[in-house]
Amino acid sequence: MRTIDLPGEDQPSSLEEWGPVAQIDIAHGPQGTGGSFQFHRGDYNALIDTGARMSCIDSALAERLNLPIIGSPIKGVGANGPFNSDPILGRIHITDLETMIYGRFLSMPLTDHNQPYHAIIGRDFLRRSRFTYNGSVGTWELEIDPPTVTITSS
Amino acid sequence: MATLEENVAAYEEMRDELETNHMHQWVVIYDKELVGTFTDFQEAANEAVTRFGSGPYHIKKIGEPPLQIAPTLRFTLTHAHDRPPR
Repeated sequence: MRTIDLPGEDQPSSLEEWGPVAQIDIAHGPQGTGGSFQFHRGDYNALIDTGARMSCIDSALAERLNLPIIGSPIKGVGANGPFNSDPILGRIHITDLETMIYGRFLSMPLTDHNQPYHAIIGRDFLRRSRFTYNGSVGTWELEIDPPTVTITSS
Repeated sequence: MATLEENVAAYEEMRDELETNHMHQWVVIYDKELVGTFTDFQEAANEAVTRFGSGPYHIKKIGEPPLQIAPTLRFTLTHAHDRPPR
């Protein structure tokens, strides 16, 4: 059995500190209609999180962008106990990857809980991709095909 | 215009008929009325957004049990007020 000492002092710290973070844009609108929707370009970023069952968008941002709530609250359990979260319709563009994620997200109070992320990209997206985390050199890779992915977590 | 809660309640009233005839399809409910059934989420969402903008409308997979999230989404305050690098 291999033993790894934590923290690894000789390893890059950024990935360990922040996790795999991607720059994103967020919008809503019908799928596949080109320029008929408008991205709200901003200083947004998302955490690639293999621990998240569903992808999430910050609830304050979702409200500001008027992302529609499309169903009854979804029950969940987090480290702080049970929570209810609204399912919302949204669209995330991962800028660096030229990839669009469209579908049903959870609205979660990320910034209200001082999270430094505006969205969490979870396993409902990752199931369509190949994700490589190379902690020894501080890099990660996300390969996705096709470049547009619809998520519903169903 | 009906609220989201009223649209959800309208779905519940239609549920038996929808599960009998349209199981596993997607449905859009707006103003307590059935807008249509669709083969996938994209079609349902496109119809809802195109016709009704930001709603409120209910988009639901017929027969889908209530979603629950397992305790894997972890919150931490380790980096409160900091920002990740770009």
